[in-house]
Amino acid sequence: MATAAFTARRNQNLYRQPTKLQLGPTSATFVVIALISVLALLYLNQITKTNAFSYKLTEQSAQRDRVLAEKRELQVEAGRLQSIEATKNSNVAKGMVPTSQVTYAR
Amino acid sequence: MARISDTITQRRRLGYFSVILVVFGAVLVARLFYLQIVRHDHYVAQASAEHTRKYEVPARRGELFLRDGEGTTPIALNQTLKLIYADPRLVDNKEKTAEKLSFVLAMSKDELIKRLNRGIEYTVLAERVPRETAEKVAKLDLKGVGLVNRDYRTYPEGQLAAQTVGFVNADFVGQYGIEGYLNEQLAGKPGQLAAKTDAHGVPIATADNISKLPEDGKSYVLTIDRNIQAKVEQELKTHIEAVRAKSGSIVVMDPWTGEIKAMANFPTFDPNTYSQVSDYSVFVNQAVASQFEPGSGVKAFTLAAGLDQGKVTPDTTYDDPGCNRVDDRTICNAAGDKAGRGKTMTVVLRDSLNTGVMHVLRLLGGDVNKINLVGKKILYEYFTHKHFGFGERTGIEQANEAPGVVKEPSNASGNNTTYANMTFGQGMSVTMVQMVAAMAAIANGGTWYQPRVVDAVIGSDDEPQKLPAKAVREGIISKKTATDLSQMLTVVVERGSGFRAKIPGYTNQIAGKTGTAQVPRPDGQGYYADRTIGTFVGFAPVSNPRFVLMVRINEPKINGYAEVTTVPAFRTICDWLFKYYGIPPTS
Repeated sequence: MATAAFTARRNQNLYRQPTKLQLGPTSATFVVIALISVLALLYLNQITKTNAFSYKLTEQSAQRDRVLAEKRELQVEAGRLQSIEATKNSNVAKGMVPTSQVTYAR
Repeated sequence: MARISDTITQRRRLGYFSVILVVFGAVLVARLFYLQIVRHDHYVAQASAEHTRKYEVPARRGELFLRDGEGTTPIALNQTLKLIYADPRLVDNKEKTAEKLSFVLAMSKDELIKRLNRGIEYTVLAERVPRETAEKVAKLDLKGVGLVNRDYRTYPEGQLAAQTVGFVNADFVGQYGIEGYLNEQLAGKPGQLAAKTDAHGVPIATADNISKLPEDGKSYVLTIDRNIQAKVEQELKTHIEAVRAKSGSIVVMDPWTGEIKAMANFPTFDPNTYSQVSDYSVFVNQAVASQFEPGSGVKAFTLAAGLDQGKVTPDTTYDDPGCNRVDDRTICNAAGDKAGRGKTMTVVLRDSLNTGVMHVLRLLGGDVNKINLVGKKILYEYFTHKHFGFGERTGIEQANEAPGVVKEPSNASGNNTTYANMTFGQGMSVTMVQMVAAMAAIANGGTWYQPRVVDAVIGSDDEPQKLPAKAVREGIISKKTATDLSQMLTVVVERGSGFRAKIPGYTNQIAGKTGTAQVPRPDGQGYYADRTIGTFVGFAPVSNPRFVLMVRINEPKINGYAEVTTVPAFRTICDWLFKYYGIPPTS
């Protein structure tokens, strides 16, 4: 064995103190149950948050649909107001006079 | 001794109890195994069905726009409005309910009571109810009365281009016009949503939801120019009333692209209230779907064949006998046209001489004395798919397009008499859109463009993508033929049957041909004596054609040929188009 390796091994603390804390089967069960409960609570908390966001998303989606429907209604109204028939019956059009003669600049 | 006996009994009882417990436990385990393992899929599906619902997500129908100068204007839009319905069984007091609703809906109370008494479980009280009104109805909180969203198609321009656009029926299916022809593309494809729902059945947005997005329908910009369309419709109505005609149609087309600028029919209808129409024939775009005997307008195309084949020139002369014997029939010029010697082909067109175009048919066959199969075959080719395209659909984006009829020369029906008649537009049938496309080929120097009403498709980025013109056949007649024929057609307007189309300042700039056709009896026994169809098809300005215009007036009640019944309408529109396009006078 090489001298360096031997020295390293000699310097190692090979003695270990025995652990005084001992967990009986009942305590272990309780600990496990507690851990599971904490995890379950965390999970439920996240799920609730997700669901809350889902509702919010649904609400906003409905609001977007409402706004789009309103936009479409306004488009239709604008279309009606700008239609040939509406333009023809407008006060501006009624005040116009027909063209009598067209002259072209050459 | 007794204690030993008691102990044995207790142990036996405990034994029995243990066995019962074990059996009970085994049954429970077996049942659980059955439910959880064997029937797992079934119960998962059942649970899922209770808190998951499937919905069809409707696709948004594409919208339609018209050209309006450089921009566009809507002609067919979608609108989500409310439908108000009632379950008459649940309405406690119909009188009171009707009274309350009549104030909000601005409908008569009696009408509402009538509607409430009409259905057993479901009756529609009002349709197309705007959002504000619907909110007022909802606030009334009437028992047995409900509101539901409904998509409606709205046509903001009302009657404008009604037959060209068509309409969407109660099932949201396109009918007639472009709504019918492009229904699939306009409708799109519905999506699907399988979503978890809350206690009220409202879908919740979760990661587990399965959704297939709907594919919205395509929107289109039409080639129809709103201003030309409106003017044409107005003039058509005025003119039909003036000549007391049954109906009529007008088509305006760009000869260089095949774009239809206006396509009008009268009588017409409002697609917003199509359900109130009792005469369904007004839904049909007569310019595309109605095939008719065109009469003398076809002489231009017979002469095109003669000129293009080099058999005649504008100055070629013939001796007009007034009548021609064809097999066992005698065919004459129209009443009043006298026989004469040395009439030119220009005069044939100017005076609309039937004997002149029959002479061209004989020349096409190489025998000046009789009509033969060679001549008929050449004429057939010029009239049909190789040249002017009669007898087959043009492919315009319109529902119910008619192909027209051109009889084949080799059939018994395509005999000499039929072909003699065909040279001046009888014994064959065409549509207006075919006539306009054929005349456009003369105007533009020999290219047959497919007539079209779709100018552009609007993509997902809302930007219209313009569609190219479809030059289906080039060189169907030579440029010289087109030029000669154009000049001959201007003579028709300057000194012939189309003289009423003359416009001061535009000398030799308007080309056209009249046609007065008789209406055949449906039983095949000849023609009605008192019913005619007047047509005038032409283009202008001849030096650089901007438009082809055709007017058709059905069964006018005033006496006279198309020059009286139809040409005045052509002139009015032509004059207006010169101003609209800014075409200055040449003289």
